Amino acid sequence: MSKILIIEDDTFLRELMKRKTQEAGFEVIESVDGESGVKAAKEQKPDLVLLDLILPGVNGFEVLAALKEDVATSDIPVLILSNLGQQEDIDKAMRLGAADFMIKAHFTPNEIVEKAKQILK
Amino acid sequence: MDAKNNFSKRKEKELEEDTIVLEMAIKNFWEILPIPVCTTSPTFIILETGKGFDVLFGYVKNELAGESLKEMAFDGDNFKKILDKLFQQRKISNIEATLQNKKGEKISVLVSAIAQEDKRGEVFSYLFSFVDVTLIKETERKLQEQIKDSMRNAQELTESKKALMNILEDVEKERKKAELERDKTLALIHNFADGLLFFEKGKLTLFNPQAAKTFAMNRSFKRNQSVAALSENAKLKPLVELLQNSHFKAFRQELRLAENLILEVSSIEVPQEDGEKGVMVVLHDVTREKFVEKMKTDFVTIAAHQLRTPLSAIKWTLSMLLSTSGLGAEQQDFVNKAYASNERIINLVNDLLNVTKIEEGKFISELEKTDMASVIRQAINDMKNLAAAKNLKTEFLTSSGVPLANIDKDKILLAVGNLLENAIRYTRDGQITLELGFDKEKEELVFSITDTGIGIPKDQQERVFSRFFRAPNALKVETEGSGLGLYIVKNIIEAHGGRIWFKSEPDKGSTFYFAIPR
Repeated sequence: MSKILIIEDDTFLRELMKRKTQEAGFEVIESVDGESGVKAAKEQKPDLVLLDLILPGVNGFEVLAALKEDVATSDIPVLILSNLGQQEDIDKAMRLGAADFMIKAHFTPNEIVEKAKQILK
Repeated sequence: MDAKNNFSKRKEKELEEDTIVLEMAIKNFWEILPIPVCTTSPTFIILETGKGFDVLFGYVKNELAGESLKEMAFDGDNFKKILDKLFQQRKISNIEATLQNKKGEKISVLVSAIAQEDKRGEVFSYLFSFVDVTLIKETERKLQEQIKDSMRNAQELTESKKALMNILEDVEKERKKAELERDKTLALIHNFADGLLFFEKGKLTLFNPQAAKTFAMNRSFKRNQSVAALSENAKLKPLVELLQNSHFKAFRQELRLAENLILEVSSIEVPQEDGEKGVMVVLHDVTREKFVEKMKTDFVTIAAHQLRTPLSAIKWTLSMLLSTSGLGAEQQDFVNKAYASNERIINLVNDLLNVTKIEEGKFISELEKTDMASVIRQAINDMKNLAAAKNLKTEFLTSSGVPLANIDKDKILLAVGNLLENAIRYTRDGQITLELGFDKEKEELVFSITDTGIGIPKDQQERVFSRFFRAPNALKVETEGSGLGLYIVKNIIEAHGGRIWFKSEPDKGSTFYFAIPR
């Protein structure tokens, strides 16, 4: 069973994503901010990280950079799931090593799970 | 008696002898006297002329005896009147007259004459004396002419002087005017809110305090500094480089000198008298504008994020609801409609974000060689559900030989998608034809999309590409739509250096075209 880490500060969205991924058969770990997200990634070694960008404290870009800098976590694919979606944001995330960038409002949970599965293949 | 007689006879004889001697003396005088003299009868018939007279008038001795003196008057002279006066007054003295010599030449003289009277007071002859004043007269005439000439010259000089003064006055006036203009221009330059620099022949020839202030170099800015010397100053280097890269031709560009100093640099070529070109550089401080712009962008980004988050929550919830079984047909319908409404708001947010980006001039990212046909096919694929729901057939025609296009793929996809979505939304039945070709002459890829829809009323056609524009007939058919779609499409095409246009006939359909350089 693949392990997935959801780093998302919005409780409702996090709950929805958690339910959907669990339904899809993932084991789910949750973090509500960047700092705890990095910590969880290092400790629990998930197979995939779903990362929001606007987060309290350490933001998503910083989390992504931290994960990619650490050899222990640099191989974990990170799927950005954010409502930022300007070209600069996308470019920046991809440059930092994100597996893909999805704008939350443009995709349904089904589509996001499909993308996650595709990345894990 | 005899003695007395003898005495008297002797005396008489003596007198007679004396008279003869006297006459002889007079005769001799007459012969040698250089003064022109003559005697005439009471009727002015010349009796005798002296040597001086003959010399003056060019005659030989006594050649004129028996001639009338009156005849010697030069044509039209008043000599005869002088003689009349002499007749009356018996004496004249130094009266000007003009006589003629033998050759008929003019001789100016002063005439003096005296009548000789006998004991009874009868005039028996006149004695004339002449003074030749021809030379004096000639000299006088010449002098007078000279004086006249001088006067004329003086007059001319006075006039020239006057004319010169007038010219000087005009010049002075013009100079004052020019000075006034210069002062005005200088005042304008001096007080201009933007920095101004003027370059001539590779030198800085003029700058205003604002320009010096912009670079915080009130002291080190000097006139007639060469461009090379200016570029040694670190503060000025970016500007000098910008000017050099543009070859001092007209341009407008943004220049970020520091975090808190952004200039909009415009340069304008100014023709000079000698045919050379000077360059005026305007430094407009846009730091504040840029700051406000950034705040606006940040605000829009944050607002978009904040709007999208709850919209995402709704979208995800509804989508999960729809994927669970157990909803009745009516409930399913409601949820579907709620989902569609939510999608509309998400699209509106996207459009607003795009418009913000367009207005910042940062919408298009890097261009890549792309197969346009594949982009069009993707747009058709993205819209296939929408077309299928309305039973509309889409057809895509393309020919071989269409080269790759240098485009921002995502934005062209958005443009084609917007045009296709419009075609589908505003067509009730019929079909939609998309076509891609290549205009070899213009080296342009030409795309067209033709529908059999409601068309655009003639009086609304001008405004089709305006922001938030929606034609009244479009509003009736389709309540959805932000009115931003075509505005975005136009901006995408134009940002690619392309053109967009359309033909439309109400109730028959529309064709939208765009052409972009390969």
